[in-house]
Amino acid sequence: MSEPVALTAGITGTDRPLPRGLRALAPFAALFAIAAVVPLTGNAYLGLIAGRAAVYWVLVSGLTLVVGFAGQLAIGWVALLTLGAYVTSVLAAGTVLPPISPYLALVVAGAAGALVGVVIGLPALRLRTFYFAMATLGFATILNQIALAWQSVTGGGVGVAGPIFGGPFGSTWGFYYFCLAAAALCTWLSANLAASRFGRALLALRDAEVAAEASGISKPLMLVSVFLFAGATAAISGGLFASLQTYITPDAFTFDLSILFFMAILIGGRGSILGPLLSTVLLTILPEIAAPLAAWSTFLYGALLLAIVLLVPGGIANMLDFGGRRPLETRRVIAPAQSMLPALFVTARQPATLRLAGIVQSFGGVRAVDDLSLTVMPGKIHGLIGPNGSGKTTVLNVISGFYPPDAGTVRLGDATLPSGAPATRAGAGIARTFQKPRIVGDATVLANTMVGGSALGRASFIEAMLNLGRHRGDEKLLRERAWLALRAVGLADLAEIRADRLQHTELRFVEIARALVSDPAFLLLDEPAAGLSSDEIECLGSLITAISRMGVGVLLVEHHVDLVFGICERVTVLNLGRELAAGTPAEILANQEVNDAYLGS
Amino acid sequence: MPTSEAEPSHASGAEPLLVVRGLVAGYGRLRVLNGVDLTVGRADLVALLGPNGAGKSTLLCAIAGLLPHQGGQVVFDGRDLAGLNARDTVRLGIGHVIQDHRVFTHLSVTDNLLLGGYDLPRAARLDRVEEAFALFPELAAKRHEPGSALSGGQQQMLAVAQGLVRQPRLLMLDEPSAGLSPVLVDRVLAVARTLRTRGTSVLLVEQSVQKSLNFADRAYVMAGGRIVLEAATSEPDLRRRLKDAYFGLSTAAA
Repeated sequence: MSEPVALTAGITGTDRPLPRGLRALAPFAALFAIAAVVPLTGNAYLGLIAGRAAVYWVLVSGLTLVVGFAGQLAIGWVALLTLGAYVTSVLAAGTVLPPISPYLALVVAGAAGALVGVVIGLPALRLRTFYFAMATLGFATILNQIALAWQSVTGGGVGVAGPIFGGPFGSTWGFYYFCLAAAALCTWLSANLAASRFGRALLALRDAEVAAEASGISKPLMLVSVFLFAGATAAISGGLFASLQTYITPDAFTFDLSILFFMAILIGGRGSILGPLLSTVLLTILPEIAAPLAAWSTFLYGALLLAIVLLVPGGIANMLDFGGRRPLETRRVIAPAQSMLPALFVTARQPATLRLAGIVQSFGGVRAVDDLSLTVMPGKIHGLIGPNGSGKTTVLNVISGFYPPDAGTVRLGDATLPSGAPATRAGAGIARTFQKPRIVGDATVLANTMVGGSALGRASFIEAMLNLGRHRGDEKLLRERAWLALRAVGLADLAEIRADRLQHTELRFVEIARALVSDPAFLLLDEPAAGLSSDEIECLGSLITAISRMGVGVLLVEHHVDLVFGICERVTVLNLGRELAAGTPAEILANQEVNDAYLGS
Repeated sequence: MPTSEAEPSHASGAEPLLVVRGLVAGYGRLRVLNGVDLTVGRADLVALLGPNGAGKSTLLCAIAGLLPHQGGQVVFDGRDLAGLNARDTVRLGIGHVIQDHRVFTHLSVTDNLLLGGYDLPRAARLDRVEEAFALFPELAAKRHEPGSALSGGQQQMLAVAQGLVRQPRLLMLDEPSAGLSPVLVDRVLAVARTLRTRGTSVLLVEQSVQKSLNFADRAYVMAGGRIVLEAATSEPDLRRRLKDAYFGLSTAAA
């Protein structure tokens, strides 16, 4: 991969750029180094602002995974800051229970925050976008009201003193370094998650939910994990916030604060860690810069925000993405390298068949699939053709578990596949592509491809968060397999490019690469040739044939009949959800009914 | 030439309907069109061929006012389109069916079609919608269902039908056959061919060379953001010339 390196050299003006890992680390290191020397100025006001930025970032570092990565509009996340602040303060003050160490209180707050984070987050499984945003706002209001009404514990409107952290972090600057350390730790954890298969899974759930599920990513599990993390960091941030403020009342936890966290992520850039970090610092400092103008400060603050949004539309992360903008060769040719395929298929399997028996699938009163039975053999290509609306894609959706059929079974070998459970299919060895490519546009082609191997990862969320050995092994494996798959489909040159810069035809091949990464036994292809030129269709045909020679059973939905009849061993023709004909390509071509209903002249 | 069948109001002399001269356009700093010259006559059927990435869709977008022109000129019916946006070009009579079936999934099939002719008088609009249903009975059967209830191919059908409802003077079709069954592809192209009897010109981008040549009077081949070949589809040695043009590209790209 010489090109990105050469590009960096062009920007920095050095001939020997830093290794990739160090280069990514450099801006973080620089920022924290600046923060670390703030105490040398001896300026307490500066220290307060910097400390506040660090505390806010502890919250935003978790929230960015929820909002920026998973795409969940958790606009009322100040609720968890409130919770953490009160739990830490009340436990440390000993108003209810005997007083405990503020450090222990902070840990308890983190645990409570994780649990409540899940409670606040769970509606995301049912509520979409704005409705979820409103639900989180509701929680924020409720928590604020509880803090106000539960006077015996929280002090009500009078408030409660924040915890005082003793020991080495007791002094003002000592506590500052404590906050800074917490911020650094959260940055590390959050960045680890972002770069892991869980980070990619969140992006995939955000932009291509069905493709994520078909790759074996369980939405509930992912969301629960990320809400646990974001809840814990927010509550810990709350504990630090309370100490920094020295005294808290419900008034301190305004909706404005929630908006600030949310905007830090939007301005920073979705799907980034560095961007939101920079914008959190920026948004903390901005009001202070504006403050000397007194009456005009809010106005100036608003104007500065507008200027940022207008000047940096894709967020700070987008502005810093130099590699993603490098010019692409316009005359690109997709050149599959089928010699890469054997290395991709490593799982030893007993040859099993994929068998559909008596499948019925109705929508409203319409039977989209009506008593369909078909068998896909390992190592064979089975064509599925038929007029538009005859139920072909519905059949694929039943096999891949998106629709629970009204009747009938899908069996893989001897096992019946659970219906309505799409995330189980990748693990069972069934991969698929989609009619409209389902891609994360602002992730690289390589990252998109790696999503396909989500079910191969063995490390847990915690292991990924702490960057432990098993997780690093997963990453290495997935990266290698994704490179192999991209070489196999002929897109290795574009691996490090943002996927939304690719042409539609190239995305079709990215989808195949993503499916191959999972080491599938069966591959379902939904119109892979749509929009391809005749040369590209030829390429695709030999690629599919080569894949089937690896022992993969292929179910091919396609309208390019030359391709279907050229490479399929068997073809099923659907019409109005029913099997119109089934047989070898020669038998189908000779069938008069098929000619009338589908092939035409 | 069947230009004689065109509506009189359109036949304002021998001047072509659309003239593109040295058009330069792209996305930000990325140039995709490097000086395109292309002409579409009145009641003319023109095919635009070329490999993926040649700039065909970008050219259609630039003509439709979806992309700013960085150089050159686009003249439609004697009027310079410089600085006009997509809303303006639609009003002037340019229809554009975008690649990759974009329909309004929350609106009913009928409402999708009505939107196709949103600024026509209501009666005319309803007539046009019924005409579209007559052409695509598959859609008529689902007229009250939301766009999301259609299969991928039916959505593509709807997008094409929506393009027809307006009866533009220039209809630009970007890969209308993608996702359609073979029978339907033939039907869509046959319908598009009949449009010229109403004076509509068609600029077709289509992957199948054979279907394109059967459809059109003239063909352009694009590569690297330029036109590399222009020919009448009736030319006897067209196949050889096309092959040469494509071959030249593949060697240049290698």
